[in-house]
Amino acid sequence: MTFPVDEPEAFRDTVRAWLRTHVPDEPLPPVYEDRGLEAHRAWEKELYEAGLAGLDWPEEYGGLGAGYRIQAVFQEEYVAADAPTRLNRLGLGLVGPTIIAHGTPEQRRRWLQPILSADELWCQGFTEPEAGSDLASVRTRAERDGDAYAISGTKVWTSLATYADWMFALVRTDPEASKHGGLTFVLIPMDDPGITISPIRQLHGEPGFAEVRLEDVRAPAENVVGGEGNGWSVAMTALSFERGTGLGSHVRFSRDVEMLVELAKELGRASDPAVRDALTARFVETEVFRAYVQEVASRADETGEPGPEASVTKLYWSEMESRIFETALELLGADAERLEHPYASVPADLHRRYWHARAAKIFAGTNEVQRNLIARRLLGLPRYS
Amino acid sequence: MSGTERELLVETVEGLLHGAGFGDPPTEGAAQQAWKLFAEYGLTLVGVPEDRNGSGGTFEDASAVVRVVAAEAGPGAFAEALLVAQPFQMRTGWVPSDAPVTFADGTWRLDRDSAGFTLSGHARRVPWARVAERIVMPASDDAGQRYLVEVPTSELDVVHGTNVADEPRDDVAAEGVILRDGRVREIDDRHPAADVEMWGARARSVQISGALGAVLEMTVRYAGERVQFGRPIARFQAVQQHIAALAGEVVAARAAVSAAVTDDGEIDPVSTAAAKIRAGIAASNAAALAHQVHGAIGFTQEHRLHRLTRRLWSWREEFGNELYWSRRLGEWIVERGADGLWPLITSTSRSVVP
Repeated sequence: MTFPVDEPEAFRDTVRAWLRTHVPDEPLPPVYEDRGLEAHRAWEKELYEAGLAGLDWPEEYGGLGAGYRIQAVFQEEYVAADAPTRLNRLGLGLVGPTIIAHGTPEQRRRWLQPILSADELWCQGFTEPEAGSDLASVRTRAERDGDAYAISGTKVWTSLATYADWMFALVRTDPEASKHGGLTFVLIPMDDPGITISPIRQLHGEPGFAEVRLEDVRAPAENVVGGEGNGWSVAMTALSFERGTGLGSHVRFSRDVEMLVELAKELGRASDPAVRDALTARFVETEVFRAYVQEVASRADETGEPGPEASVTKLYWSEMESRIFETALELLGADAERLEHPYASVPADLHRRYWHARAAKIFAGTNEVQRNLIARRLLGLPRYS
Repeated sequence: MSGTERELLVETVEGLLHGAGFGDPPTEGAAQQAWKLFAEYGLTLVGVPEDRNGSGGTFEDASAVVRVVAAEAGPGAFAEALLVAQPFQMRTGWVPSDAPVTFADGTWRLDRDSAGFTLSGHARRVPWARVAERIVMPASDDAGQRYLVEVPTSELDVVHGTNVADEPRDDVAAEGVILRDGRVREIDDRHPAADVEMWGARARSVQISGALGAVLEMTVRYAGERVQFGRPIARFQAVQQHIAALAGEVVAARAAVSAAVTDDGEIDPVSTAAAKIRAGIAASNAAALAHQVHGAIGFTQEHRLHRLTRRLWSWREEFGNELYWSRRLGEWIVERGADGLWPLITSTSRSVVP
C-alpha cells in the first residue's frame, strides 16, 4: 500500500483503512509485562513494513518525507483507531532526527536503519540527580582514552532503560571549558558491563523509570554526534523534537472531554449548572487546542522546523489535561477515589492519567521553563536574571 | 487545656510518630502499633472528660492531636475515633474505652425480639474497620426509631478496600446478627449521629489542614535545598509565586477549619460546610503546587511528598466534596433569603439552618 503524502485527505483515507485492518483487536500487554515488549516491537515492525515508521524522515533515509500537516493527520487517525502505544518514540522521534540533522554520512548509515525497523531501541540519558531543569550542569564525565571514551556518572528518570539497546547521552568532555561549551552528545551501548540500572518507582505505580549508573563505560569515538564539544547544540535539537508540536494529540483530549460528558450523564449531573460550566470550559479548551496545533503544523510546514510555539503547545496541553482529570474526579465525588469504578464511562486508568497529567507539567521541560522560553523567544522579553 | 499544655500535647504526638517511623503504605500492623502507643500515653482519650475515664481536654485539643497525625501521615483511625465515634459515644452516655474504634455510616436496620437486638445492613468504605475492635453506627428500626449502635467488629463481615492513599476503607456488613456484646441506645434528631456526614466532613477538614501545613513546610525546605542554575530554586520568582500561593491556601483553609472546630465539639452547619469546601479546594491547589515545586523527585514513591498529597486527594472526596457542600450551603443561603445573608456572614454565634 502506498500512502499519498501530498494530499492530506487521501492520506487520511489510506491510513485509516490500513489501521482498520492492522490494529490488533485486543490491547497489547503493557510493555513492562511478560511478552509486552515483544508484542510492541512486533507492532513497530508492522508499521515499518508498511512504510509508516519515520513518517517525517527524508525519503533518502527510509522515511516518507511527510510534512507536519501529514504527521498530524497520521496521529489523529492513530489515536482514533486506539492503536498500541509507541515503543520506538525515542528512536523515531528524537535520536533518529537528531542523527539526520547532526550526524555524519557514516553515522546515518550505521544508526538509522535499525531505528526504523525497531531492531534497536533507545533511551535518553540527559537528566541527572543534580541536573534537571539546569541540564547544562551535567556531570557525567567522558574522557578520551585511545579511540574510545571512558564514561562515568549517573543518569536519572530514564524511561525504557531496562529494554534499550542504546542510550543517547549528554556528557561532559571538557570540565575546563565553559558550562555549555564542554559538552558532547554520544551514543552509549546499554550492554556495557559498567552499566547498572535501578528501577525508580513512581507514586502512581507506573513502571519504566530508572536510574542508570555508568562506571567506566566505553563508547567508541565514532559514536560522538556533532563533534566533541558541540553537545549542547545537538541536545537542543533533540529537545526541540521532544517538545514536539502536539501533532494529533488533540484527538486524545477531545475524547477525554467526550468521556467527561458521558460521565456527567451517567451520574445524572448533566443539568447541574456547575457541571455544565466545567464541561463547556474543558470543551472550549480542547477546541482551541485543536485549532492551535493545526495552525502550528501548517506554519511549521512553511518554515520546515518546529518553532518556539512548541513551548506554548506543551504548556497549554499539560495544564488542560490536568484540568480535564480534575473535573473528572470532581464529578465522581466520593466515588472518585475508589480504585474500581461501577460507571461504564469511566476509563480503568482514570487515576493513573490524573497523576500523569501532573507529571506532564514537569517533564519535557517544566512549565516554568516553557514560560521563560515563550517570554524570550515569542514575546522578545529580556532574559530572566 | 492551656496554650503550653496544647503545645506539649502536639510535641508528644509528633515525637511518638517520628520515633515509630511508620512507613508507607499504612498497614494494619502499623495502625495497631500506633494505637497502642497512643493509648499508653492517654492520647486516644483526649477530649473525653477525666470523670468519664478519659484524659480530659476539649474537642479542640482532640482536633490538635488529629491534625498532627495527619501532618505526619500517621496510620490509624484517630480522626474517626477522636472526632466522631467518641463524641457520639459520650453524647449517648457511654464511656469510651481505649480500644480502637471507628464508625460506619451506612444503611443499618435494628430488629428487636425477646432474644434481644438483631442488626442487618451494610456500610461501604468504613475507615480502618479491619483494625477497629468496635464499630459505632446509626441504625433504624421498622417503626422509624433511630438508634446509636456499638458493635464488636468480630460480629460483622469485613471486606477490605482502600482509598487512593492506601488507607483501609473496608465494606462492613451484617445479616441478622444477634448482638451479644453490643450497646444500643435510642436517639433522636438532636443527636449528632443524625448528622454523621457533617461530623465526618469536619474531621476530614481537620486532617486536611494538618497535612496542608506539612506540605507547605516540606515545599519550603525543598526549594531552599534544591540547587539549579547555581542557586536554590527558592530564589526564582516562579517558585516563590507557587510557594506564596501554597501558603495562601494553607492559611485560608486553616482559618475556615478553626471556625468549624468548637470547644465543645458542637456542629455549626454553615462553618462545617465552609470548612470542608475551603479545605477541599486548598487540598487540590496545594497538592498541585507542591508537586510542581518538587519536580520529578516529588513524583517518586521514595520521596515523602506523595504520602501527604495522596491523603489530601482522598480526604477532600470523603464525606462530600466541594461540589456537594457548595450545593448544600447554597441551598441554605437561598432559603434564608436576601435579608438573611449579611447576618449569616457576620454573625459570630452559631447558625441554624433550615
